[in-house]
Amino acid sequence: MHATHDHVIVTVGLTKVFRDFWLREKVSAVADLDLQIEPGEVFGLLGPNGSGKTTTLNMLLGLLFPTRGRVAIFGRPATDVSIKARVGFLPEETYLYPFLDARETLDYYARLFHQPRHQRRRRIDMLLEMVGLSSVAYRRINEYSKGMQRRIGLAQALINDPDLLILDEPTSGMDPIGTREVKDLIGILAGRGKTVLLSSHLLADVEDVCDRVCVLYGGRQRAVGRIDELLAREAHTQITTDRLDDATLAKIRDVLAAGSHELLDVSTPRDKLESLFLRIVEEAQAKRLVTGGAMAGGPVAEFLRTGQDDDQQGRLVIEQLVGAEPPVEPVAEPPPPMPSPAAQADEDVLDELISADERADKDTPPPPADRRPAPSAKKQDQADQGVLDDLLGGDRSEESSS
Amino acid sequence: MMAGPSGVSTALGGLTSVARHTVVQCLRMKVVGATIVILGLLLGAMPFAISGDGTLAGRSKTFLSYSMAMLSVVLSVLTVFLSIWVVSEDIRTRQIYGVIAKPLARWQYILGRWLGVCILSAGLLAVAAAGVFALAQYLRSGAISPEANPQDRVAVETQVFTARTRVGPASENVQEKIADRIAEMQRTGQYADALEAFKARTGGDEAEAQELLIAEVRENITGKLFAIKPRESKTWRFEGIDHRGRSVTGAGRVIRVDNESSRLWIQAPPAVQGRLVYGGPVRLNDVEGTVITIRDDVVEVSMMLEDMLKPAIQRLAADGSVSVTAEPTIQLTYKAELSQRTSDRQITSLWRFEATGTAAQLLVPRHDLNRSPATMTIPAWVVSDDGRTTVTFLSQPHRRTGEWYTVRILPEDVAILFRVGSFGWNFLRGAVLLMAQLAYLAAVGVLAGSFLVFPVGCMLVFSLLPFSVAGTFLRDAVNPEFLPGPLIVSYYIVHVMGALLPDFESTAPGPWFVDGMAIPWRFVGKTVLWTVLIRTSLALAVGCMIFRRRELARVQT
Repeated sequence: MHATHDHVIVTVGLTKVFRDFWLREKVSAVADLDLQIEPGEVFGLLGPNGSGKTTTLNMLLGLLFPTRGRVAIFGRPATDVSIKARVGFLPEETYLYPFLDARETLDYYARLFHQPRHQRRRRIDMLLEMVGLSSVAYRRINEYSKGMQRRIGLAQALINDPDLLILDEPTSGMDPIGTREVKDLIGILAGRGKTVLLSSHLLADVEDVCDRVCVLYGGRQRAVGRIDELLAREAHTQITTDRLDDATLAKIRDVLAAGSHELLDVSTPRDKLESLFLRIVEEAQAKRLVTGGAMAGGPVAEFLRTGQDDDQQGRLVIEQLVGAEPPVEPVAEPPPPMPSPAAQADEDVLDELISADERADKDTPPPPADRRPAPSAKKQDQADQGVLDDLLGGDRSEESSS
Repeated sequence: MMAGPSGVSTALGGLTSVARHTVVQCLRMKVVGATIVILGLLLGAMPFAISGDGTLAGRSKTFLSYSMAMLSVVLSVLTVFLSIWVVSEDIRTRQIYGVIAKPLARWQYILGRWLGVCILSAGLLAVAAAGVFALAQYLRSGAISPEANPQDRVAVETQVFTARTRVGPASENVQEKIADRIAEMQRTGQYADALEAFKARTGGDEAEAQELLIAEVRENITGKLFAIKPRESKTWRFEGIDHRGRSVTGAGRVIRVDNESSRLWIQAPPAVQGRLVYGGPVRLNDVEGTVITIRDDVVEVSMMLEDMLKPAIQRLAADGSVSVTAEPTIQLTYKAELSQRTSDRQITSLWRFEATGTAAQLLVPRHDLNRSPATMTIPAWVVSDDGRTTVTFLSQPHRRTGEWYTVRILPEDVAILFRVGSFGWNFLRGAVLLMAQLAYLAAVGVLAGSFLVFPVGCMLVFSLLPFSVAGTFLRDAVNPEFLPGPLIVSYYIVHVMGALLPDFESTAPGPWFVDGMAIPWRFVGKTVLWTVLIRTSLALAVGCMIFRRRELARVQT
């Protein structure tokens, strides 16, 4: 991939060597790292502890200076203050001022973006609601649990509705609800064309949300590419269906054998612990059980979902009502989120799955769509369609026409 | 850097956000609250705990001296601590990450931190200075010292709670006379003999012998020039006395007349009463009297017996009206020294004041303590319109023993003082000087915090402070002639530091208040220029440069 000015982040030969007092080389934290991250991409930096992820992020933010190599954010050097207006950053640990409460914290950071008072207030309200801290907004940060601090840290990273969101271990210290919400949020932001750079060693989180990843080890780039390309086991096919009896399994085995395929594994899938946990908490919250901690987060803040603040929308609606020409763009309802390639793929896959299910068994309810399937799921499904047709003993095109 | 009005407003917006945050941060620190409480308790107790020399004036001077010194020390230490802490702790705790990741230039952060500490210091200074001012006024009212006599009250008003300036006598050029005398000694060959004699005393050290010889010559000359022998007199001429005092007249009301004690009690209109001072002149229906006390808006006036008999005074009665004229005053300060011991160390003298070029003359008899500074308040009409006056000391025999003696008054020990402003405005100028000091210390603190951890930063700043608070002493103490070998470097360190760092010794407001001297606006401006605009800006510029090049995510060791 060649670096162009369209890339959100570009690093060329990025190297960071830490030296001791006598300028002797102590550790080479990052070595010759070449990255190009495109707009709208969710990019993951993966690696074990000490692999150089945080050092890389610190160089991107100008908190460390490269020993060699070059960094460009939105085509500008990392130390350029103007680009910071488009960047949101959640550090590895939540380094907040303990003497401020949540509202004051967000207000301080919003002021640094020169936001007018009414916008600050509205955004702070929405973000506190979103991260589930509205009820404890006036408690000092030093009274918060680590997870609650993490939530407020996330809120401050979003206060400016950033075009580039840099998250260092975003789910560290968060409960599964918060983790799920962060992942959902990343999906929504990516859907709006925002770029997210995520550093984590929690592989499941990265796998859930990232389009592309870079694996670092010892400060060097070991692998980089799309998740589905890196993880695809091209030699195998997995089918999930409702419970099959032994006879059906035998038939399947025969069909596979006829096609010179071997049935390698048959098992009953288990629910994910994350799903079970979320279900229990949702039930408890539905019963309004008392808790002194964070609540499940509310809906994603309006300005993050639509890119417009409430007051901006309200003004447009009022102008329409009084027949004035809207000054920006005609908005009868909030503009639909900008579809990303991934979101479009989701819809295609969903459509196909529903029509396939309808064809297979009209009485069976459609399975719940995954909240964020891999962007190239469509391609994968098409590849599997042949085997599926064989199993069902029919021709897909014929069924489609019927 | 940003350009244009919107760029400037954006830059200022970031800077003021950081400053605002700094003020909130500092106000929520326990150390600030504790400092305010301790300062309040100490200041509140001070007027009752101190007594000075036992007089109301002495007590007031001691209070002003101690309270301003305490204010200066406590606020300086607090400012240094806070300014280092807010920057170094941000870096140590990595809270700086969240701030620098926002659209805020590093120079904005440094200036914002400095501005925040300055605002807090200014607020604390304003509150504490208002407290000192209020307590000083309480002392001035005499509520704590009801026993104070009229002379004491005069001294309080004319020497402490005022803003005066000083004019010395026309120069007698002692240096020239010393040079002439030395030249004459060299011509006549006396110099070499005298030098040999002094060398014998100094163990052969010629430089020291020369110094001793010159000191001896100076002593001889000044002894002759400034000694006032029995039945002789000594005259000094003063110029440039711009006391700006004008008589102010208004209609007052008579409260009481006591013919036996030749006293009158009157109420004067505020514009007139504000210019009356204890012991100062006042004219009632154009007859001159002296203000004895001013209490509860009532002025007690003493008159000469013959003046009480004048028709203009005779017709005055309780509840009647009277024309009150406040006359401006000036003061003479001097220190006389007896050439021999006397039984009670008292010096009796007569002073004559003449408005140069006029026939106006005033004679004042005095009894002063040997080698003690003395001040007398006199009407300003002894100064001619062009600001000149002639003062003569007339030798007098001791008032009890009748003994004559020689008195010496050095030219630097005699001066005319005259009021050029009010104590309130002078106090404000003093507070501005203190604020300049705090602004500078905040800048140095922020600079130290930008590259050092808190304890090391404190150590650095407090090791620099002696050069500012005791620069004169250090410069005098470090004499290159007596420094062996490599220690000569200390001489250069002291002098370089003296040039780089401001001199807090000369800009401390306390001594000005104690002497009742006006702090000139020009001096305030010069101090602000050098301390704030030049030295503070320099410290901040260096701090910004260091901070700009600093890797904030690098682990500090």
